[in-house]
Amino acid sequence: MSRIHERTTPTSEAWRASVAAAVATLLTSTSLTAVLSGAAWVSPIVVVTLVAALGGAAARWLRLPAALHPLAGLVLLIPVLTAMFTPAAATLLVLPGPGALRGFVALLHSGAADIQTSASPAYPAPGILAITALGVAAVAIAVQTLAVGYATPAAAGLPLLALNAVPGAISPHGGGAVPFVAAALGYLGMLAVAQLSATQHWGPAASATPRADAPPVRADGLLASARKVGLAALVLAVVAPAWLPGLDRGLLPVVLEGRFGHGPGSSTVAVVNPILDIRADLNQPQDATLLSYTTDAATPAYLRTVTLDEFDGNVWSPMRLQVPNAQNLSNGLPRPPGLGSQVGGTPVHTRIQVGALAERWLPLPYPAVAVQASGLWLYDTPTFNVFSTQRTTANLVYDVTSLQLALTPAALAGAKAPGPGPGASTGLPLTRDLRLPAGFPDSVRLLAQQVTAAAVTDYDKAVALQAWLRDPARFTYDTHAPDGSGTSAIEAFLVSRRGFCVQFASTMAVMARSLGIPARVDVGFLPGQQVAPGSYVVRTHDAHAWPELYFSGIGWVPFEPTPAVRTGAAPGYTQGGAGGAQVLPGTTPAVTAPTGPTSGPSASAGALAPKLNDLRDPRGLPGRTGAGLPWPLLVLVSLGAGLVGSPGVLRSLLRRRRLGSSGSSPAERAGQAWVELRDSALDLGYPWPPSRTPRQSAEEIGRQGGLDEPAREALGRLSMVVERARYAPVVGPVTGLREDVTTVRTALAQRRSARTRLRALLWPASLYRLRRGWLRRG
Amino acid sequence: MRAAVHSLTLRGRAFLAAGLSALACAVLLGQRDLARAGVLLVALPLVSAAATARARCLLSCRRHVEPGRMPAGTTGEVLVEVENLSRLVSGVRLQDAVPAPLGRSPRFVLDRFEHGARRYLTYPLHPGTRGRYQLGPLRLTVSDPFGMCELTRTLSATDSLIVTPPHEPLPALHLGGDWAGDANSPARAVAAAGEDDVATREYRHGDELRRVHWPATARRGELMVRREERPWQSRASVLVDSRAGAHLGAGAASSFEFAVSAAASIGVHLIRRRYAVRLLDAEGARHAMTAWESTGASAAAEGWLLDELAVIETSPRPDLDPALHLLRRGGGDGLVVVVAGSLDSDTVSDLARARHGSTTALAVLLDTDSWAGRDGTALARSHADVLSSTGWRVVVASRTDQLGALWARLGGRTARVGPTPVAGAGPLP
Repeated sequence: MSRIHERTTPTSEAWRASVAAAVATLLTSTSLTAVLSGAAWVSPIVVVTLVAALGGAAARWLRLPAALHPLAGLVLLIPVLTAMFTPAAATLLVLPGPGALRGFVALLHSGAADIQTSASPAYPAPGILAITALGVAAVAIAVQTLAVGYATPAAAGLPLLALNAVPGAISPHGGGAVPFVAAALGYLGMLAVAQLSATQHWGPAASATPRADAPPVRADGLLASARKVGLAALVLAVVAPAWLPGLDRGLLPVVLEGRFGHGPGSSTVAVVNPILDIRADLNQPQDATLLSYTTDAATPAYLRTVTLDEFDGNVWSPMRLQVPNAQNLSNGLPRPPGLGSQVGGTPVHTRIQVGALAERWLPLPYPAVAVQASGLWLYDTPTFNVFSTQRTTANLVYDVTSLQLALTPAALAGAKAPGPGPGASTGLPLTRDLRLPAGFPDSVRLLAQQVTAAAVTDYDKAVALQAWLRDPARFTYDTHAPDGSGTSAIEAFLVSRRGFCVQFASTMAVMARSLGIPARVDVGFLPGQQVAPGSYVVRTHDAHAWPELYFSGIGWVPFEPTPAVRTGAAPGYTQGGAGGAQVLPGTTPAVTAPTGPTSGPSASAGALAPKLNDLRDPRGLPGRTGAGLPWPLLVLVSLGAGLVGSPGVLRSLLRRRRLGSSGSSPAERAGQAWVELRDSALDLGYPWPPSRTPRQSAEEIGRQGGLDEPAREALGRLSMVVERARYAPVVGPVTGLREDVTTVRTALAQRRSARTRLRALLWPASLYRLRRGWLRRG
Repeated sequence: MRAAVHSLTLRGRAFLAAGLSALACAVLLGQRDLARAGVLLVALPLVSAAATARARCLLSCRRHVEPGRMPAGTTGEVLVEVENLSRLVSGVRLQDAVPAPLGRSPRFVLDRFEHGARRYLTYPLHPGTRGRYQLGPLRLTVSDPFGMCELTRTLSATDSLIVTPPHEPLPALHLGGDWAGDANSPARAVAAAGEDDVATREYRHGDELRRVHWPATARRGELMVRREERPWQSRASVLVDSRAGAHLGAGAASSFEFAVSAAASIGVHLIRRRYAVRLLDAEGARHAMTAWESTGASAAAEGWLLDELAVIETSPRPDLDPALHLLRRGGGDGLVVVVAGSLDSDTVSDLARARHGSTTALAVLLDTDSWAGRDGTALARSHADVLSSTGWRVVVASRTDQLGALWARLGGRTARVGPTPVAGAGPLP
């Protein structure tokens, strides 16, 4: 009799492998949620992955050599990418025309630029979308080639890991556990499917009845154990990193701290835009100290790291700087741009000590007059941005002399914004500070006009905007709001009315520009927390952004549209002609902070920081702080200890009950004592065959245990008692059982190794035998 | 634990190494994502190995081969019964070792195989070449669902299988050698009427004590023994020319295999016709005893003959002397059948002398040249003539001949065959 086994055909196996690879790729690309916002990027990725899977399956079906598998994927993907991204340049909708490649490359360039200027998660502009689709396509093809073509699904983990590592490379928090679990599930699924195919390929299943046709392998047992093993490994992978040291910072930076250095002596600086990090800083789980300073100012100033004056619709960014090396701090600083001579100011001295903060930009109070800092620090005249291409601010100590300007609403009301035109009265290139991107939404412009309808002067308009934004009934301060400072983010912010300093500052700056007032966004720090008179500490959570508006004759004036919950009261000069000379905002009379004057100028920031601390409990990361053990570890340890210890506890309870002379008959007590003796001997590894009589047992135990005289006597007494209890018509008095048993037990234990004794204590063999006995009986 | 670690496949070890280095990098760089991946890569092989080692996978197996003796070219079936003595196992791959001439080694998968359950593997055998073969052992591979580790075990139980040369039924002929007796065999036992149905004789020195017939002894007053009741036998000696030099061709297509097949067909034919058959080859008798191996048509005799022919091999001996000696010593009783390869004139004359008296002697002379693609019928026919002249009945067989037809030609003439017998090529009268 010949049997034909139904086996899975290679075609369906190819399909299954391809689909598994595609699913793994898709699940892994969920990690992109950490770097891309919205859902617009999902469908291109799905399409690209599925097309790559189609290519993989087709290549396998055609039995192409594995090296040609990527080609099959490419042949299918090129038309798809063409149709998706450069439909205009396509011939017959899908075939890439000569312009398509150029168009696509241009798209990639714009995407690269977008990535440079976007915070994560970034809005998926077409360029970013193209880069994402291309990257995922490359990963998908690689996965298909390795998993299907070369039949090495394990190796396909490498491209998947690369995809999974993208958020870790971009965003400070990495991809998070959920995308990892998804990716791991996809990967494990791919491995299991491969193993399933191998098993099914091996042969048919053995049949459950003789001479029946062999059924094909269903392998649900294999899949069930795949679930178990995979789940166990996955749980470990999610839980275990919590106990690894140094995962928040990495040991390498600690080792190399302060040693990295200096590029070639160029005066062009290209840094990741500082505005992109504010939200991350605000949401840091621990509020690390960044710098501290002492000042002789009565009220400390905001520390400005950099001014962002270029707005392209997506993001605020610092102008690309080209500064002659002569413009360095050791040559002194010029007069602040636009500052009129009629504005009075008092010089203030500040000594700043930077800690771990490693920036290329130097945090300074504005306007600085003189700075003594080691290293070559260059400044940009219109913005007063100070930067170095050779070193960072890490561990830098420097002295600053800055001006504390006396500003009054009256003086400001009299000043006019210079209006559009090339630096009408100042000779400054202010056009940049008025420029709005093409396609700037009219709705925002209209809204700005409505808000400022009642205002006459530019100053009044600015004050109206600030008051409108600070109105707690209208806007809510929320550091978990979506990030972004572009027009789309501003529009979203104006609808949701939730945001944090970046949105408040950029909204005000954009609205001011739309009203013809030159505006830019400053990034830096709140004054921080006062730790001693004149001494302050600035922490991660003090990262801040605020707008600066320009008024002729006065120069750049900071405003504070971020609500009071974050910043305290607004600067006095911005409070609509409240009268009296007020100092510049740096010198904000933060005394009016909600926590009251006693908490010092930085009370608001100081009050907020602990609150964030409470929200983000750093204790989940043991080893960082000495504050107590991590509770999951404690639970696990106690559970484990309970598991290990519970048999011993049970055993000692049993012993206490047996030896307790609680009112039972003498015969019973003797029997119980004898049973206890037996179990003690068993615990310690002495043989105790049930066939022996008590006397034989006593002799044997006495011989094997090498008992000394008192123990031997106790043993003799016990065996006599049990004999009497079992056979004598009258049992007679029964005394000293507990002592005798204890004596014998101690003597027996002495001959045993420490390990055996420990086992007898923790995992008594007699319990185990007891259980086995029950099972046998059952 | 050590076994578990040793069971790791290349993939498992690679995972372990990659995971450890990923963990190291993760700690150095502070990459939590990488740390997760590292832990996963480390945990997966370890958890897999632990789970596999815990399953242990103890199986027992029994094999039933049907039929236990099968001719080459036919199809048989093997049933393997596997019982699980350990806890539930899944995804176990089995392969029964089957020698290449019997067909492919069958592979099966055991999935969700509970403790105490039985599973059955059935697979066919297509034996192509005669011989004695060993089936098994059953090799099982236990692996985890991710291909991280693999344990290979071998169940020691093996079974042997005998593949006999192919043989075919032959037409019935009138042959001599009937009722030939052994020289020392007594007269045929005749059952007398009445109760005394045991033929007895007096005790002779050398008789076995257990043959003593005590009632007759008591009656006669002297030791009486039961007569050996031995039926008359028709006897036949089948000689296979197993000299390596006498054959051409290789493997299943060699003239030697043809000779073995012919001997098998003839031997089975004779046994079924109640001949006692002994098998001779160039080295002499194919058995330790020179005794006649069978009495009448018994399956055991047939089995013995076929088993012998299943494992018969060529010998380097240049002549057939031991076999011819045995033939001559037989005293000329019984039928003699010789299947001879290429002969030289000395062997032919020896062979001619081996027949004496009234012995019926049949010879199948193989034209071995035809197995080498040449025509050597002339030589074979000249040998056939020599044999015929001494009273042999001879056919010359070439590669394409059917044994049944040859056998019929051997019986073409009844009884004695004169000097113009069936000498192969010539048209029969």
